[in-house]
Amino acid sequence: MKRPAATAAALLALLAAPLFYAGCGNAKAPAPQLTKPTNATECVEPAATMRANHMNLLRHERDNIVREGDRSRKYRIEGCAQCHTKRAEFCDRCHDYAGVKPECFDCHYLP
Amino acid sequence: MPEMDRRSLLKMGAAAIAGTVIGNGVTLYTSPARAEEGGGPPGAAATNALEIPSKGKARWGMVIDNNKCTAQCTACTAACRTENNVPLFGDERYDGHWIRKVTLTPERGGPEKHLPLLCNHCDQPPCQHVCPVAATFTRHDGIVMIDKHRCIGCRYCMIACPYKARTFVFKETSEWTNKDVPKRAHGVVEKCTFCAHLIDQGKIPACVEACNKSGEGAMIFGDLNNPGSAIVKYIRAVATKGIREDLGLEPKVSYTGI
Repeated sequence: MKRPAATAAALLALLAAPLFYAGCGNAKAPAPQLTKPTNATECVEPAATMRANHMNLLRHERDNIVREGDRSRKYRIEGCAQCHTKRAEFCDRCHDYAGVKPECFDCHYLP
Repeated sequence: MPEMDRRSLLKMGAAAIAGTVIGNGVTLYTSPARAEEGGGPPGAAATNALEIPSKGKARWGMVIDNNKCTAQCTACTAACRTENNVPLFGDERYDGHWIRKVTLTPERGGPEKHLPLLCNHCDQPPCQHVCPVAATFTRHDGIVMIDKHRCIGCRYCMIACPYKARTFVFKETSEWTNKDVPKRAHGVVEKCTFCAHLIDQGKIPACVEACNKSGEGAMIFGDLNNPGSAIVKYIRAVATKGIREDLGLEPKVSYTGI
């Protein structure tokens, strides 16, 4: 170890590199590109509401649909599939981006 | 005249809560508006979009004429598997069964009986009574169902059921045979639903349809509350018997010829 100061500086620079890299570069992950349905222009609620609350709407109505047998409810997972015909290009892209793993599709078929 | 007042008040009260008896000691109360609509069976044309099929006056039941059911025929079980995504892995540890063909051997000799055994949709369902999370419930039309969103897979219901009608999902199917019906995720209990999704559309269960198609016609499905239905006429004409009626569970599936 002939030059301890230089070695320490190099090591520090190496360790801190990710911090500088994140600070200097564009830290944002690319926003998910969603394929919108062609057969309808509007969802059952405004897009912002659906984006934030679709899981709550579905979960809330679920009990009425399953336990009361009321299949005329507005928010049904089968209803989603009527317009959003490609799950991989819509649901999955946002779920992957947000890092959530819903269990809906374990049982319910969405193409 | 205080007595007259009281009587008229009681009359008014009785008229206000005019209800429909859907089972022994079970009364479905309908609002006056809905009572006027008639609330016919799901087969009737739904004039009102808010009409909920399972909240009609129907009480679904089944009679199986075992004299017509043959040992080799598996039309009902095969149809059920296709309709409801019930898996068959070829390994009896994992196979799900919603309807099974059971062989009965009389203790005192005599011919063997082969009968289809499915969930009896009891009026007093022991599976529902033991469920610790209220996942098993009885619909307004008497169909006993499992809310698989809520089921925790404890399997008390499997122990409680005297018909062995329930199976645990040890292994999931990878593919849907019928994409309109959800399959089950690992760790819940599954059983016959009387094809509630078809009943709500005004159709009959897949097993009954398959039985009729196969030419056996051993299964009669219908509304036990409708005096004009084929099943009520049959029950009035022929003596039918439920399996383990002694348990007092009041099953809605009954048999002749066992």
